[in-house]
Amino acid sequence: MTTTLRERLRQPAEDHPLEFYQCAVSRWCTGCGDNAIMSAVQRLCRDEHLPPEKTVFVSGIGCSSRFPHYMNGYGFHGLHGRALPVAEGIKLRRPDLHVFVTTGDGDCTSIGAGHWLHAFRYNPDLTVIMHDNGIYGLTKSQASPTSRIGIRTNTTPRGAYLEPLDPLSVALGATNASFVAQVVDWLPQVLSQVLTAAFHHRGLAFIRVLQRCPEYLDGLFDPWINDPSRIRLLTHADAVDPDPALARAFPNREAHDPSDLGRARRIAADHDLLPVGVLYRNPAIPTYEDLRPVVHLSPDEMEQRIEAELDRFTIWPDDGGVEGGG
Amino acid sequence: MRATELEREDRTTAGAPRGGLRPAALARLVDLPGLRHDFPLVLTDDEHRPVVTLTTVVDELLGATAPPGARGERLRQHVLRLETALRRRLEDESAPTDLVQLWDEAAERLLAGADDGLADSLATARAALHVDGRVVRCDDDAPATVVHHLHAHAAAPGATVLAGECSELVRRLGAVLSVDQRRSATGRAPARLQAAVGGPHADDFDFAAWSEVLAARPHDTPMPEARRTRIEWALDVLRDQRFVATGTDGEGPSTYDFSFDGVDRALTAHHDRLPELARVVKAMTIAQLELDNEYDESVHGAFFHAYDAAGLRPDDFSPFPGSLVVLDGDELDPSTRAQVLDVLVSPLPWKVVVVTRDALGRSLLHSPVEPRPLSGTELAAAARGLGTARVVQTTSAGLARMAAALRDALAADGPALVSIVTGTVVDGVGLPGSLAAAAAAEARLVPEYAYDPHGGPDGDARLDLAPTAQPAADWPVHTVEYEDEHLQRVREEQPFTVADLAAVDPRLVDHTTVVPRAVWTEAMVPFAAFLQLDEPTRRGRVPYVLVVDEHDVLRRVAVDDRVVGAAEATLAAWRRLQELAGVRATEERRRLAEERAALEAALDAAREAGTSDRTPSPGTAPSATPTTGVDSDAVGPATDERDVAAAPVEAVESGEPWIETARCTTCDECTNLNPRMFAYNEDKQAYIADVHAGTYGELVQAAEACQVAIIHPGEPWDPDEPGLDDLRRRAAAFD
Repeated sequence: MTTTLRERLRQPAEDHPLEFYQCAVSRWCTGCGDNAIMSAVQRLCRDEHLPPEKTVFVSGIGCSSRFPHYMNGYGFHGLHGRALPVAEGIKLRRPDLHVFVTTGDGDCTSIGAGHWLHAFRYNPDLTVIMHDNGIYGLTKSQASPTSRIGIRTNTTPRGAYLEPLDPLSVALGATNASFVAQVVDWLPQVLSQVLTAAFHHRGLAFIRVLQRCPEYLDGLFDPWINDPSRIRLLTHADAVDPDPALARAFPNREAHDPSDLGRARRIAADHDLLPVGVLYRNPAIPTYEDLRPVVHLSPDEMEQRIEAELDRFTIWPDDGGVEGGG
Repeated sequence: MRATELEREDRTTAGAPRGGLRPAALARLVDLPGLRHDFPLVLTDDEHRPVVTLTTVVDELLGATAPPGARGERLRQHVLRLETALRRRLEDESAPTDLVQLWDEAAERLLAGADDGLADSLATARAALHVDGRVVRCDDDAPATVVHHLHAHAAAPGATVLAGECSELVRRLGAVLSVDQRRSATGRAPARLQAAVGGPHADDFDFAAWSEVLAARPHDTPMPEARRTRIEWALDVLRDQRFVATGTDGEGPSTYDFSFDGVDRALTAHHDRLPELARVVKAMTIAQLELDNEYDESVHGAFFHAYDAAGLRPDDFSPFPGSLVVLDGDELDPSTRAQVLDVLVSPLPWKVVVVTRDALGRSLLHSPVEPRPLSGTELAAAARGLGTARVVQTTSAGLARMAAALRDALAADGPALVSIVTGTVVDGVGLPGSLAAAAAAEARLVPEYAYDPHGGPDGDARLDLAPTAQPAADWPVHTVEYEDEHLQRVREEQPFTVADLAAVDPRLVDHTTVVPRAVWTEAMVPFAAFLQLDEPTRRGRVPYVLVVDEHDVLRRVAVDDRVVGAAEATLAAWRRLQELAGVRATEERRRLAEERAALEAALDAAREAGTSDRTPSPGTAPSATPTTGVDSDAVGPATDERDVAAAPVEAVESGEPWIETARCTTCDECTNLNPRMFAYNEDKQAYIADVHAGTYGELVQAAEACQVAIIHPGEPWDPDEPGLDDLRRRAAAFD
């Protein structure tokens, strides 16, 4: 193995405290599970020594999508449901960046559902964190696709009457899905381990985080918080490997091989126990960046092409008409 | 074609010129163009198969187009006719050197006056021909041509990577400068802004005002001058480097040639280019550091200021093309031989190729009492002994077979010596080029092998003798068939030795004699058998080998001591090679294993026959099969063998408040309630920073607010706090 001069000159990774990765005080409600997710992401950035200039957080619209405002790194607060296409574009153009997508249950599985399914198919190298609190919180309580039957919200005053969408089963049925995990915000250690596994996965890593909304749906997850035996903790040496003290609290642990898609689908379909851990992982699926390498242009070349493209639609006052095709 | 032993009449006399004699084992190989053999070769662009024989091309084509059995037979015969025509056409120097051209030309000639059936077959075959490339006939230039082709092949991926990396660095450094330029006063000058807006709206804005607004932006600091100079220097070096071509359409400076025909010229070029190579390494590294935002003047400034060719390490050379030196093995002067060994002990990718024509003469023609120069094969043996370089040896006939080994050696990071023997030194001998080369390999004069000093822990992993025929034997054994004086077929097993080659070499007439049948005696012993005799037994006996003359008549050629000595030296060298490759040890291990298996089988059989009383041996007791819950729908507690951490009971017992910090979800409830009492640790998880910074009531309130109920208030510490009874009752739910 040869080492280049660049490698020999590499400085030891710089250690930063957790606060380094936060650039603003969050405006999430006190008690909100989003705080737990953000501190887990910050721990990941710190432990992986991610330079802020090499990280991008892309979001859509919703409480969860305020995430980029609080992280010290590049951010893009996009349109409702459109976080994934933006993130794919960034990754395609700048494969050297670590691109994270934070999205919510409404942003991802409702208005953004089309992008969501096709993102699996494209399999870009992204870490997608879906904050799923089962409600639209930013707009003060409307039902989302994952709201359970009977939940009363402003849009379902008599209780939600549709069966909720199951993001895990959808993800595990999507073409080219390469990493699917579920975790809960109230188990910080497991959350961190799943995030780490997702970060190291090359391909689209989709994590559904069940997140508490104490403001508009208080107590939604209390049965699982108070009774860990209702959780199926999926363990694997290379994914979730809880310390013994934590593991002891979960009588229903299962050593799960994440390459077993059939078992993952059966686990997702069994709603008696709430699965927590990495359900499926297949690093062999090629990423979109591998299949469609981008031709890199210099800023001048890029400007010329953009100008040429815009000129096609330019209205030329002298001619009074449209120049070029359109 | 059979060799016939002439009974009465000897047409040759002892000591006559040897034109037309051939070793008996090769008797059938007279009309080489009519035979399907390893030549011609086709040099392709195929990444996985840069060299392929015409025979293989035709076989694969027929495999794809001609169905087995009678249906495909006509097509097969037609295409094989074309293949023969191709070979015959290649005997002419004016033949095209491109396979498809040659194919089309040969097909056209064959079709003149032929029937439609042939035309159909050849059209089918032509449509299925997907291989193209330069056709190489077997001549003295073939090894150098093939080696240059393989070297280019081996270097191509590395050159592509290096060129891509240089272009990418140039592009990205350019982008850094370009962005800075746009933010600068020049970039925001009214004229520049006007140009950016474009023609139709050029008069619609007040660009001077726009420029002033932009200039007033406070946070755009220009790039420091030192950094700009550094980036521009790196850009210039990377644009002007001549190690790989980066420009499209022939743009950019011409690239260096890395092929040489002399070690001294290669060394001169190497030294001349070192300063530039150091500059390129430095520019690439500075560019990478700049782009990774890691360039630190205080750390890197002094280092790069002093960096020059003296700072280069062997690793730094690996992205760059290595030097290829092709030498004439028959004309190696002492200084060249020394230089070859000198460069082979260097860790740099020097690739030295020695092409030797004469396989036999060096050791046999030279006086045994005079020092003589090393041959190409001996130089390869010496290089092997250095233990630093890869060594590959083959003959012209083995070029296609050993193309992968040759390519590996040429592509490897370190040095390599390639020795190729053509065996074509003697004109007029009955052996055409590739046959002479193959015969030299068969006679163990040119063992074919690939040696990688870093290939593994033991000899058989480092030295691969498999390309040599019958690597476990002293001499390869061939079956010779002929008709005896009674017109009966005789089959003999004939080892092929150095003497078989010497017997047909016209230069060795002084050491060999064709023995007329009339004087054949019992004292004549086949050469290989003679070598096995001890010295006293050899006395009075004459070693001989079988050859055939131009009339296919079988003859005996007696050889003298010089030939015997050469054969013994060759055999000794071959046995050393076998030992190095572990061939003999492997063979013995195989025999031992066979013996052991046979013995155990016999013992088992005897045991079965002797007794029906079966007692299981201690090692065969069935072991419990471990079961896992992985594929089961049922779940249960998995066992965890690690020590379970002790529960934090001390705090509970002492009545002190505590938080299960590891379970904290950072929800801010407690820290918002009393940020002095509750604080976050380095993982942003809560702990009790100062229990006396608040009241017991606040502690209980925090425990109630905690989303995951991990705050345990313990016992109150201030007995005078109001409402303690109520607080105690509420706290009990969390202890």
